[in-house]
This record gives sequence, C-alpha cells and structure tokens, in this order.
Amino acid sequence: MSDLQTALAAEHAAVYLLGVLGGRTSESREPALFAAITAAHAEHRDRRDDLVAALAASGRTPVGTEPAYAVPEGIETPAGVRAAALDLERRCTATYAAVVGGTSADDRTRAIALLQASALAELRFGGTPAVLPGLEA
Amino acid sequence: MRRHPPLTSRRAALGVVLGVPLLAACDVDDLRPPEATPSDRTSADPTLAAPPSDPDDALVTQAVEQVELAAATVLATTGPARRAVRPLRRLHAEHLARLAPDRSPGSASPPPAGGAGGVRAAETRLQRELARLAGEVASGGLAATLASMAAAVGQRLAVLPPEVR
Repeated sequence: MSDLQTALAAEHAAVYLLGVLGGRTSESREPALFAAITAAHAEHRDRRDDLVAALAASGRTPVGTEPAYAVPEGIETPAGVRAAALDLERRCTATYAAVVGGTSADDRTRAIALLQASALAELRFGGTPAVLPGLEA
Repeated sequence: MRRHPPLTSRRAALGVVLGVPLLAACDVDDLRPPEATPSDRTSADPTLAAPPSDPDDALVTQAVEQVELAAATVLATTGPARRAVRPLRRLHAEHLARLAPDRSPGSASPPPAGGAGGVRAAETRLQRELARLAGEVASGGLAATLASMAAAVGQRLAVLPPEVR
C-alpha cells in the first residue's frame, strides 16, 4: 500500500541524499549545480516537514528516518552528482504517482501536488519532459 | 556533510539485494505501482467487466474534453510558435490515445472562440483540470494516470519557449 507515509519516507531519503550530493559539489567550481542541489534540498526539506505536520494533524504517527541511507555510486564528478540527483527526483516522482493511486481525499490531493512538483524538479537536473512522469520505466 | 559512505539501512540493503535502485528510504513496495483497489476490480475480474455505469466514465469524458480543448488551441497556433508547440501536440495525442483509445484521430474539438492565442493559458487550465479530475475519480490507477498527465503538461509548460504565448 502506498500512502503519505510512503511519501514521507521518500522525503527523508531525498533530504539525506541531497545533503550528501551537496557535500560532493563545489560551490565555486560548479555554482549552477550547487544552486540546483541547494534549492532541491530546501524544497524536499519543506515537503518533509509539511508531510510530518499533515500526518500528525490527522492523528497518524509520521515515520522517522532510517539510521542511514545507501549513497549511489559514481558521484565523484559533477556529472555523476547531477545524474544521481536526477535519478532521485525520478524515483520521488514514481513514488508520488504510486501514492496518488493508493490514497483518496485530502491525502490524494497532497500527493498530486507532490507529483507535479517532483516532475518539474526533474528538469532542473537535466531531465526531459515525459508523456507520463512517474509511470514510465 | 559526510565524506564516508554511510551505513546502508536494512531496507536499503534489501533494495540492493533485489536489484532495486536506491532511493534508500523507500521500500521495494514503496516504488511499485499501487495495488488494485476495489474500484479496479473490473479490469482484473472478467465477470465484473463492463459495469453498466462506472462512475469514473463521466470524469474520463471530462478529461478527454479538456485535452481536446487544449489540443484545439495548440492546433490553431500559427507563425513562429507553430513549430515550438509540436511537442504539445504530440503530448495531447498520446494522452488522448490512452484516455480514449477508440476515439477517432480527426475528432478534435474546434478551436475555442476568441482565436488561437493563449496556449499557455490553455495548458495551465488543462493541468489544473487533470489534477482536479485525478482527485475525484474512484479508481486509484486512473487517478495516478490523470495526475501524471497533469504533471506532464506542467513539464511541457516549463520548457515552452518565450515565443509561445
């Protein structure tokens, strides 16, 4: 079952991984990439906090973070960091599409907004528009 | 920021074992399409096929109408912007093929009154309407499809060149 807890788990991971990617990116040598990762990190942090608040407000206990997360390989170069960030956003988009399908009412409305935001975020890291974001392999 | 690879969580490690790429916090189940909901039974059980009145039918019809409306605006685009809106034409055609596979390709709506202008406004309206319909349909799978279509329109809007009004 995919619900808002699933979305929150994805946001916990995204916040963590984008922090790692930011740490691997030089602000002086790759200012555009650094800015994109910084912006994405802030957005995912806000979404995480919104989801925590929404779940708590509805009487559900928000899922917590894992102790640590596996970091993708190949992030020693700016191209690798960009690819990892794009992959992360695509996985978030796919997760939100599943959450849309597994929810209803207000939870679904929230998931729809998350899906649209994440699909846009893919473009920031070199993604291209898709016919069905989040539903394509 | 950490310089060393962090420990892999148990759930993330499971993802590695199963060959599932990592957005670590997500369970394998998290990344699967949603399981069939009760309202999806018609596609899974042939004995329930073609119910006399699927409440989602009217909403799908609305979605088709909204895509056709936006498509008509795009089709009416002239001048230098005509080439720029080709990806939108293809997107609308792809979405219509999924929403109404039996629809005749030539059955597009006439351009809306007021001329061909306003592609951006038409697409913004389409995105909003698809998202609204995604929130209203009973079927979870259909909701995901409509929401994804709305997201696709949003992506195309974001990359529209400035010559497209």
